[in-house]
Amino acid sequence: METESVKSALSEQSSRSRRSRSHTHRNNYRLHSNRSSRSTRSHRKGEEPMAPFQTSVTLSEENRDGQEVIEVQILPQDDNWGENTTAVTGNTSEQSDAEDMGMSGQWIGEPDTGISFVCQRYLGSVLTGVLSVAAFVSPLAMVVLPKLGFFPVLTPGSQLLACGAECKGLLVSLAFKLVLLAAGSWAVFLRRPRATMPRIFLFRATVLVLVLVCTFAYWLFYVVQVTEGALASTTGGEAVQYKGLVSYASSLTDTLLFIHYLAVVLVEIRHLQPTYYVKIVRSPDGESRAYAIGQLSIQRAAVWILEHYYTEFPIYNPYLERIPVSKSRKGGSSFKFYDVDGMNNSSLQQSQSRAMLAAHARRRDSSHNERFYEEHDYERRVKKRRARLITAAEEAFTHIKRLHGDQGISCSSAAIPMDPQEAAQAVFPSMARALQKYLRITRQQPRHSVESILAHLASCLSHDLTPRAFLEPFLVPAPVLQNEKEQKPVQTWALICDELLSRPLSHGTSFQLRQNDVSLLCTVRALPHFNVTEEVVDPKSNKFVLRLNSETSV
Amino acid sequence: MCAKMAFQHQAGTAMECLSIPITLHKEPGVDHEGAEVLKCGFKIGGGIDQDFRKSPQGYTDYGIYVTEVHDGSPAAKSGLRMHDKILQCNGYDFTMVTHKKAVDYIRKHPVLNLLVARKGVTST
Repeated sequence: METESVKSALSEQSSRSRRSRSHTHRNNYRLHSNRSSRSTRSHRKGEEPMAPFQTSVTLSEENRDGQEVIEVQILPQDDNWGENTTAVTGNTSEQSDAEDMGMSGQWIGEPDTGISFVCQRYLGSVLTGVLSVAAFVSPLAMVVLPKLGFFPVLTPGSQLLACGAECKGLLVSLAFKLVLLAAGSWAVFLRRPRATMPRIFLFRATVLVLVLVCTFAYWLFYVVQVTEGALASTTGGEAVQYKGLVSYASSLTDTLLFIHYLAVVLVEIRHLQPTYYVKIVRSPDGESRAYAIGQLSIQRAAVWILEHYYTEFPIYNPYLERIPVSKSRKGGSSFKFYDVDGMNNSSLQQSQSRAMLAAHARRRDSSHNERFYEEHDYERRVKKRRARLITAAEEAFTHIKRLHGDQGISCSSAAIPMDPQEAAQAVFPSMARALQKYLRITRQQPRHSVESILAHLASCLSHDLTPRAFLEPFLVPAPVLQNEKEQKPVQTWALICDELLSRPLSHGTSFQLRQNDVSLLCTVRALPHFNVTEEVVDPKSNKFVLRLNSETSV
Repeated sequence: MCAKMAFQHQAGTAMECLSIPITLHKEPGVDHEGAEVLKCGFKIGGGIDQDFRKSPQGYTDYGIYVTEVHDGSPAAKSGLRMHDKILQCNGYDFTMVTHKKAVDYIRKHPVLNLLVARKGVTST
């Protein structure tokens, strides 16, 4: 039980998409930014000397070569514009950073990575970007092209290209509408994508199809209009006028604005009204939370749930699985057996292990009280150490006094002005022991290194915080994102569900999100329809009579 | 001594005192809901489940007392007076009954044969 367990750790690389920033001019829709990263798991010996049942330190990204690759996972994250036409499970991963692209060839045994997969992933977002840019630029093009002389009929300078007052007004309104469209898209859609989802995001696909059809139709009629006008002018009929083209472009902008409105409603607003109640249960330790959620597809609901998981759930401490047994009791309860013969191990071991299991089971049945007493004892010890820690911290903080400017350097004989880091280092040793003991008993040591504690102490001192405020990260292990190990740019979760992931949530849906040891089981129930009735209470019925002694008339 | 025994009686103990026998014939009347009932025309208070210390009339034990007698009622005609203590009704002992039970017993029969103790009359 006390052996040093070597656990693997995730090391990841994430990178920003290089494409998202290139489109400085605004688009209708958020360009899909593909950030994915690779996570690897490998076995390594721990790098720091640690107490038993500690994990090894997280791997650094540099030592990749020669590592045994166990699993590779997708870590990309996108917002609702998580595009995808390819149905990808959660276990393929990808580098989008330039340097890692070169290294991807080094990874043997990973058929899912490679240039073709990158192309596949980028195809969707490139398509989105191109489409939105094309749609945005088309009104401009429709207005500018005749002036530039693309159409031989409408030569610049001809009276057909004359722009009167009404036409100028239309041009101004067109310009403003384009500005509004750009501002609207920037505000709502131009964001770092929050998640990458495995299945196609139906609403976004619908909107993109609408944009495509609209743009195509408008261009078609535009070209027809111009050529017919050209024909008409040569045959002497009614020619096309520039004003007509400008108003045509203006109507295209209107249509694009309405499509933008529809996109905002579908993607941003529809799911705001709560319709379902979702209960999330975390598997290894049984933590649970419940939320009200709106109409979403299963994959979007998974993203929503993960956001709340990272900001509200307490940190999962895998070392708290076993209640630490106090040292005094440890000696007598283990069931030892010795392998007297060196031979016949294989046949003997089976029967012996079975005997051991039976003995264990019997012992467990008869000692169900042990759990209660163990937990009780553990909590008592934690409380004791916590009290000592708080006392030690308070004592340590009294040694530090802020040096005010007016006191000057020579305020007292032994005063040396120190900056916060030095002050932290001077003050820390007096509470180091109590803090270390508390972290040991709550099994939080791997989470806090000495440097991080000193940095935290320095920042607390520079902000004039009290000892309890300094101790808060150690005493309150929540939320999950507070754990620095979890503050990675990309997190991968595998989504498991019986239904198709782009189906909407309904009563009784349940799905599971998994990452390493942690799994979140989410069950969805519909919120009831509330029937609120009015009840009128006559204020006259609010009268009371005091009866001191009950008398009855007969 | 009898006064003490009759009006400061410890419920459940044996007691001996003088009493006035009263025969009351009920008359039909209408109660507050409008139903036809037989009315006696008096009000009772007290009982073993009540607290006599809280009684506005200042009663001194747990017995059933007549707290009001309506004018012209059968009770008045039969000679029942206010502050009488009912010791017995149709053979049923009223020195150790709950208030509700007393009411039930009084309402049960159309003719009541009461044994009543009166201060100053049956005792000094």
